[in-house]
Amino acid sequence: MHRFPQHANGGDSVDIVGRLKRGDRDAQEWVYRSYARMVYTIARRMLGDSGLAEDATQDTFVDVLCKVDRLDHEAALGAWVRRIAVNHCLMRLRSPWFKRRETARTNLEAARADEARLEVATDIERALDSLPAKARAVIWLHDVEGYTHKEIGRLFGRTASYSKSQLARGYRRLRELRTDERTGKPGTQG
Amino acid sequence: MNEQENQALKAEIRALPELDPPPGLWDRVLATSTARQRWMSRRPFALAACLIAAVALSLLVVEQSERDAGTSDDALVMQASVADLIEESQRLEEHLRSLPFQGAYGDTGRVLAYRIADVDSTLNELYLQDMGDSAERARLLRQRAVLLQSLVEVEAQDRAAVFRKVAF
Repeated sequence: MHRFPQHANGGDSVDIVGRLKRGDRDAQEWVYRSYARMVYTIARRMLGDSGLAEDATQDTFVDVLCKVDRLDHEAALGAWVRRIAVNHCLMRLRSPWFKRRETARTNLEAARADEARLEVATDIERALDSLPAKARAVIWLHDVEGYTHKEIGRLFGRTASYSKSQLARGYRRLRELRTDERTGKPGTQG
Repeated sequence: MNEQENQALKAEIRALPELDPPPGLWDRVLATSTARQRWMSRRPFALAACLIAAVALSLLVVEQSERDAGTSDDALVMQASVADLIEESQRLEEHLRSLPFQGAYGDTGRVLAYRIADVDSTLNELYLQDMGDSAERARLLRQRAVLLQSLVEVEAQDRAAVFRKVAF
């Protein structure tokens, strides 16, 4: 967490939300510097694509700066930013635009686009990226963000059972990929 | 055995490091948010006009579908349960995915896609507020299905127009 700039408000971070509402540039930048890694990580892990994650991160912070009037308590700032980020990722996952893009994009193109990143990625990152989009998002929401199956089911317009089955399917695939890696079998791009 | 492996995988996923956003993103956020705020504060009438146009277009689409619903299969959409509406949305999305993609939507398609994204955003908010079973949810799901149906039709028209250009 970045320290709130001293020159902006004498180091007092209590009124960040108030300052955001007044359009204070230092407060805006402080919020970005404090939460950008968290937001970009959520987006990158959920969407499995650096370009989409960048777009989702940008949209998240534009919303944070433009819709801060809706936020009442500073204590809720982090959770609010996180929720907007998850919302933008889900919008992409559920939107026909995202689905068309997923369909149009071949595995070869996807591999080329993230080739440089994959070279330095860990095994588990590669495995996670190779999962189907929804299974990957469910794993991240459930196991890292702490959403319940009921909440995830609702976020996807489905039931808790849907979330449970996506989670089980995702882990089964991850285990298979691990086995393939150990035995040197091809097909880790899933 | 599987459960142990799952727990180990879960621990690895949770231990993944945070990622740095690309440099220069803050500048783009600032430029976009500043432009949006300036536009919203200096051009309230233009904003209102655009909103009215977007809402009017959506209402026209929804009303047209409601009128058609009396004599077509869309009647099922208008009277369906929440589960049916979700299923209908999924069916339409599958159909949309199955169509050959032109590379981009036209103006009408883009407005419809934005409206669908708006509906999705509102639905997500409802889910997060634990209001997933409300009448509002059913209304939004119904609207989503109708907008998706319209998007499918707009795409079909766009494709037909492209075909006519190529053929003649």
